[in-house]
Amino acid sequence: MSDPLLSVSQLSLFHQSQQQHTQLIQEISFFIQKQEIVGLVGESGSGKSLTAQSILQLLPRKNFKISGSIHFEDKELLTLSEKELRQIRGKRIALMSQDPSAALNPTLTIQTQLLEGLCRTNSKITKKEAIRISTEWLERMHVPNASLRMRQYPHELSGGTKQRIALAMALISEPALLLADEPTTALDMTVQAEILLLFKELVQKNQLSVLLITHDLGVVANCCDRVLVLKAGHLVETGTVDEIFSTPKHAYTQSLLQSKRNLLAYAN
Amino acid sequence: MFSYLFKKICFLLASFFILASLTFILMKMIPGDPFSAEQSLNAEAHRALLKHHGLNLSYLQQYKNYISELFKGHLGTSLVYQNYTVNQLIRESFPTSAYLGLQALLFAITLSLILGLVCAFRPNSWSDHLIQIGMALGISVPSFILATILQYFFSIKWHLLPLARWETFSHTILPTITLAALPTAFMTRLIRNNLMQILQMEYVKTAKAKGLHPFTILWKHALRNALLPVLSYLGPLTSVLLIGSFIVENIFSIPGLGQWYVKSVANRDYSLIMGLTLFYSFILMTLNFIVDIACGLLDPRIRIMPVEV
Amino acid sequence: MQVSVTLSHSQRFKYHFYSMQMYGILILCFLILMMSVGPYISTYHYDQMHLAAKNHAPSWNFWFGTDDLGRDIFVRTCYGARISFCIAIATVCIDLFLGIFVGSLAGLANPKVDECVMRLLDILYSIPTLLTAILLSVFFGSGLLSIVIAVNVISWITMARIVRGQILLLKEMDFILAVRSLGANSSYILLKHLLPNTWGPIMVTLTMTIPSAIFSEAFLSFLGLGIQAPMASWGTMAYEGLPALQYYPWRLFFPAAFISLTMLSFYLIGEGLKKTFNSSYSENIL
Repeated sequence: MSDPLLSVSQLSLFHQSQQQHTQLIQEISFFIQKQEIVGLVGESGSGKSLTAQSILQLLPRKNFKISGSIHFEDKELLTLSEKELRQIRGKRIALMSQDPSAALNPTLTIQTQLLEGLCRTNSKITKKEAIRISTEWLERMHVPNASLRMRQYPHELSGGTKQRIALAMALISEPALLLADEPTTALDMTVQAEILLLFKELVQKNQLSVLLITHDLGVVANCCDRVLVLKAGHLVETGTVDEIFSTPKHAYTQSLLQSKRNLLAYAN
Repeated sequence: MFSYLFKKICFLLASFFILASLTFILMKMIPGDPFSAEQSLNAEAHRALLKHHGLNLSYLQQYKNYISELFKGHLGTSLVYQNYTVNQLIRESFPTSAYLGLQALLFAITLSLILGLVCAFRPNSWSDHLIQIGMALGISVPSFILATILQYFFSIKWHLLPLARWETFSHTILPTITLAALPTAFMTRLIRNNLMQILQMEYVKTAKAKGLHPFTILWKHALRNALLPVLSYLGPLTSVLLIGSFIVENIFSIPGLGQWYVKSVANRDYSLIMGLTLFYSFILMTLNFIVDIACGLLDPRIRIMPVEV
Repeated sequence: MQVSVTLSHSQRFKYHFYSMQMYGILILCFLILMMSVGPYISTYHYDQMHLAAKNHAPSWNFWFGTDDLGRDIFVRTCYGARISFCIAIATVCIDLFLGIFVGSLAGLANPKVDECVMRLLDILYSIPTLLTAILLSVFFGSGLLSIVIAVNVISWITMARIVRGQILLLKEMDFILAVRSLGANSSYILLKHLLPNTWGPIMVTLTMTIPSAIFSEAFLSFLGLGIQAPMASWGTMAYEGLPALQYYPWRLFFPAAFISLTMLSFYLIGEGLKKTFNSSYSENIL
């Protein structure tokens, strides 16, 4: 088995406010291989989004302290300077936020926002070429009428389209790892299914790895290869999807699965 | 887009028309006529004066004349300074006021941008607190007080800058600072609050996740959205500058239009008051209109669905 | 696992500094005290002239000094506080009654009526406020009543807009739907549900319109259109004190300081309130 793409070891996150000092992530360790989709599940407040943001060190340094080790493509991320981190963000590791409406700047066209990411990786590219590549990416994301969408503003588009555009924006620089934070929560069922299919396609074709953060076990079952279960900042269980769904070891995982089964039972 | 523009223009014209009519009505509501106070006039001279100024016609006729004169751009004749039309006065004095106003505007915008940026980037630091104190003072201390304080220290005590009048560039410094104080405080507060809000927004986080340099994020994403409220404040800002100019020109003895306005009020020169009021209103309303359009251009959301906040 | 850390000195300072409302309210209380109690603790009357004691500097006899007619400035400042307070009350009344009434009307009525009313308000609003105030003062003469009218004739429109905006926002919310489905009529919903939820923006707007009105009065007095002698308002006192600045600075200093203090207190209270209600309102004041 080759070296993992991302290897996190004893990662801890501390929050410091005026009166309190709290530990939000408790020494979690996991790894992500190349061309793999890893699901990170847990309920709200368990620290899922924070994990992703800690990997890219997006949290304000004044209040948040990170300890541990994050190894990515033979670089130790926690020792990098801000300038070096900027080389990683967007280019090698991309983050896709939860709410696409908030993640897109309302006063800039889609085109501007897509080009922004592209022109960083490839500074010699001409504008015409950049627009062509961006439009291609939108088409790859199955966004209908791609060239029209390029010139539009975020508020003119539907949630599903915005999510796809956010995905295109994240992938346009062809990163090796995508941190997808609840990519399907704000969408309806059919759109959800399409986005998940897209993920699987991209992992196959583009040598991409995905850390899929979600609280929906259905999404996990559909899409992921391995699962990490997070509860209150602790990593309580890891394993392949089959392992977790058939033989959950930790009480928490069991209760998560049980509640899902109960829902399905009522439906039937 | 064009229907939006068209509606706004109609609006502008309607407002102006209403104001003009309002001023006319107000003037006609004063008991007696402007010359009845002068005892030295005999009846014939009185009648002749009334006829000369067209005041012996029926109200409706006077109104029609008034409106048609306005259309031609004539704002009236002064009652006190005979044969001196409002237009002449404006031509002579407005450039000075305009220069002062523009200089104050530029100063205010530049300073508030710098201060607002400093605050947003270092929230809750000492510089932030200091600037906030400055803001509170700028908003609370009325301009005539600030003017006198500045005069007292910089002119009388330390002899650094000239006290009054309008001759060299250094004469313009104290009036500009006085005039710009309130707008700067307001805009700094606006910029600071907006920037702080925007820097919390998701799309800024996304931009950071994309690995953009903080300056790029600021320039492309944050500033545009943060400046929008400042732009919409620019309308009332001109109002502030204009009103402020009355006081400043008075205290610093600057030969601008504001001084004439104050004099006309003191002299009860109604026709001059009216003419100048209309002129000022016209400028303010037009500027507000331009600012509205500019806002629409900058924020695409407004263009498509003009919304009242 | 929680580890509590004691606050450092600078942190504690920052915590208290931000109780802006506290300072604002303190200043306001002090001013109200001066206004109500002041004239009683002084032995002089506001129009009492002491011709032998003209332009005296502050002393034990005359706490804030005297003006050029020998009148005690302390008492006149207290009376000036009363006038500003009157203006504040008038602003509150006019803003609340007219502003809320028209705002609610526009917010609740059907879209066409709303559109009409708003267009009308927009036209009125675009007419420069202070210029209107000047016009009205010139034509109706000076005196407290006309000043009050002039100063407030347009300012209620800001309140109306804020109220309308808030009502439009709240109208769509689910709890209003719930009340309506229980059979409530519009006025009930307005009084019991919509307006109580609008108090936040209303109060913040008041902290902006009141100082604006007080400033307008000072400004009008400064132009010579204000309260007539021998009544004392801070604006007229500043107007009278200005020419004598070089020789008798206290004549300008005290009214000026009090005007600034009043504006400052409202500003602080407003900032504090904004933090509490946590929203941003339109910043157009003048």
